[in-house]
Amino acid sequence: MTPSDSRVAATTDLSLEEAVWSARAGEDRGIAELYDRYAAVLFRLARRITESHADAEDVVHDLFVGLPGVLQRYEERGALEPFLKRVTVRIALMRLRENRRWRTLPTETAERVSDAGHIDDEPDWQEVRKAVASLPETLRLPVVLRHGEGYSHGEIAEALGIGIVAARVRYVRAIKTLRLALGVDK
Amino acid sequence: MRVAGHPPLEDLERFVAREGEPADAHIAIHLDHCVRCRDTVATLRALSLAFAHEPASEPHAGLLNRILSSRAAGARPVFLEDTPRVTGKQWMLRSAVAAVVVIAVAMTLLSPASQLSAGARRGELRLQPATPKNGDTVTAFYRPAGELAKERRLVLRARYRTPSGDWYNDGAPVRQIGTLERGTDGTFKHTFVLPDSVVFAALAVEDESATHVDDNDGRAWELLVHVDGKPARDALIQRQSDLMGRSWEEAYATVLRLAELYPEELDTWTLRETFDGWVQGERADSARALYRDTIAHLVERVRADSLASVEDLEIMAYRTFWEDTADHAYWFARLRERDPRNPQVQQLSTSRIARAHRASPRRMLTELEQLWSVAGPARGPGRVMIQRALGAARQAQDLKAIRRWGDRLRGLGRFGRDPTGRIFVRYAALRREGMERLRAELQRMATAPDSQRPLGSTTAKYRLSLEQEQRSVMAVLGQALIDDGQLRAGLDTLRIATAHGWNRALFQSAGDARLSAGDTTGALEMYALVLADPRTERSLSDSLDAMAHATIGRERWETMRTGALTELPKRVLAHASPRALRGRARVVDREGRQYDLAELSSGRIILVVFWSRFCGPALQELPGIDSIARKLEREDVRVVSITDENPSPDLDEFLRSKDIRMPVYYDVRREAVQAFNAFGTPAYYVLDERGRLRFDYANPFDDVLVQVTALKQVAQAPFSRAAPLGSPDVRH
Repeated sequence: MTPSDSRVAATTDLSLEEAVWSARAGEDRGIAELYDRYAAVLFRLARRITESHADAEDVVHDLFVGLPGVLQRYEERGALEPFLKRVTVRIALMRLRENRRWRTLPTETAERVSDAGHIDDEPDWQEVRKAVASLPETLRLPVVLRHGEGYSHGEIAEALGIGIVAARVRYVRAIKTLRLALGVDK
Repeated sequence: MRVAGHPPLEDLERFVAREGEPADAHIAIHLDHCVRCRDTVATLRALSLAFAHEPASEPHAGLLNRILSSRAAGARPVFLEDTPRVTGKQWMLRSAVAAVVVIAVAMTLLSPASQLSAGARRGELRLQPATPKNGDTVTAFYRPAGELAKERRLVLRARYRTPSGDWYNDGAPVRQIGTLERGTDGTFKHTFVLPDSVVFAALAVEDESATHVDDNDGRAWELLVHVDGKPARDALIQRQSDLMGRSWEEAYATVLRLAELYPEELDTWTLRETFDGWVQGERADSARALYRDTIAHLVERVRADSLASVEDLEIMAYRTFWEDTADHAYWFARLRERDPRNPQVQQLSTSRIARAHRASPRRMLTELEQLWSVAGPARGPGRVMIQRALGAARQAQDLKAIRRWGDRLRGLGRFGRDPTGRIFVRYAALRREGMERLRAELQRMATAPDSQRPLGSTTAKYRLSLEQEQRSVMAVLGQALIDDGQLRAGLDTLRIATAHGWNRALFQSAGDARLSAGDTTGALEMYALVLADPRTERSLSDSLDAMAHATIGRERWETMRTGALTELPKRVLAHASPRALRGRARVVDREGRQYDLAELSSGRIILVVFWSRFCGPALQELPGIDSIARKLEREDVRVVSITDENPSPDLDEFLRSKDIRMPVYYDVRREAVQAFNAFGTPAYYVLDERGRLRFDYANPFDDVLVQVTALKQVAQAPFSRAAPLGSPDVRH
């Protein structure tokens, strides 16, 4: 699992607290400041979920356009980044739903990936990512959130709106599918 | 053995994460014997590395612009809580969100006004309930910032508006709601009952001496009375009135909101029509076409309603007046029958009389006198009746009529102002009485109650504005005294009137008065000030030079003129307190190059102009601004004009069509608006060569020429004692 790289250097003189206040009040300056700090991280998360650069941009766009409203539900006691990530996940999931891009595992891709050989050898990250992308949505998202964002099963369950047992079962199934797809069992 | 069967997946994950730690030795042993788990570990390791080596992926560089543009256009996605997913019961999102794009008009209207909390450098005022009803008990919580944080008690003031409030707010009295008491946690609190008549309030907080005022940076905090969970119609109408002249854009947004919430009301659409005319300019017709049918439908409804409201009848009489048709006669008759003394009846009748008898002032007076007998006294826009009559009386030199109509005008001005003194002193027979009225005006100003102090104004700033007003009255009084033969008193009064401030017209009239009184030297002193003003034509200098050389001599005249040049920065800068911008202000040019305002200045004086294509007054002033901007550029003053839009071919075409040649910058991050606290357009700011904000108001706009001249003279003579760098900040 990869802890996400969370900070982008701030470019205005607002402190984080000032930026939150300012953005909450609907001021562009505060929104721009928070964009500077978090857009890259949130974009990457949205990109992982939607598998589309354009969709990820739309997710970040919608999030920041609606940021003042979103921040009304944010309590300063918690960390802002995980909060924004949770909202990003939800918007990204809605984007997936809108696109009706519910996918099934394309056999063809899985076979091609298997042909790539054993992953113990020289790793081909692109092939691994393709295998992940080829997973059905229900299995892909737990993998993305766990490996891309370091979410616990509980956090995955909350983000996806399912029970914690279901989250774990899906994740285990996803790993098994990947193991097969990447030809490790051959 | 801890691991009897296959270890759980989480253990394998941990093993991958901390590869080879002794604590995981049992897993390593298991892996030696289990191909499946070994492959699972290989898969997890591959995943881990794949995500770690994910190629960098960044959003497009223009995404922030897109976001801010969407916000500026009013897009507000609302993420609804607990929205179910469509794919099955098990997919219900527990606290999920659905993106529903709601095109709203203004942030301020979407969220309760009290939630418009300001940044950390301002205080924060919160009202509870945030959406009050008439007569509710409201508690104000205030978290102070800056100087106000040191106080134990603070004062909460409000500009209350009732449904009959006029446009603009300088005549609306401000009330002291009560004292905010500091609590143990540093938050101030005060509970008050919202009067039944109030539908909108603009609020500000100050210390007990009104030395420091927090009015949310000129925006004021707002209270809108709500009905059925939404802002009341009258509350929105009054908010629009309150914002007139402060922020046309916000006022327009309020009108759009009104149309959204109250589409069944005729006055909603009449207001919308009016605003579209102001702010859409050439595009007004296409904007109005969108709701033309709606208006037609509502008009027919009013026509069929024998009990239609006076308000609707007023609107119809006014709407049809300009065409002077049978339709207008119909609506006017209905309104007059319902409410003979209605201000609209007074105004429209006056206009008809004035149109019919423009060439015959006596006839006009007779008819207006008859109108007064049936429709007087004047109310609201009906005051135009008195103004027309006074004009006709002056034209006819009818002193009795001047006195009669003048008396009818008394007390109708804002805060009981009496403008008749200025009129009366022009006529020998009425002069003494006029002078008395002017003295009464001076007395009124000297004892003006605190309720007349505008919201957001400190006592010091208010005193300065009163002094300016007093000087203007004293100039008229001084002239009247001279005309009355009281020469010494007249000259003394003029001397006081012109001793402070910079008012070219006042200097000119004082000079003329002194000249008529035979005081040539005194007159030349005044004229030297006129010549020091950069707006004065050079030809005046030539003619005055000749007169001065002949009377006081070349040398003395030169000394006088030099003295006047020194006076200019002293007087102009006396009340201009330097203050820093709030944070950085970065703007971009047409090619997308980013500039910090400090870079643009590079040690020069800067004039910053905020304008908008969607603001009627800004559009009107734009050619004048462009002309002055070009003049200033020639004098090495940097002009930065900032529009509220992002670059677009459409805007390029607009600038070409208007022949606007001053440099245009784009506030894509909205940093400039924040740094200057610009609220509405057009807005002008002059920064000195050290990047400090010196002037944030110019009325008329060509006053910036005087302001820039003052700053340049100071910059050229940095050690001059004649040009103080500003008194303590009177704003905050």
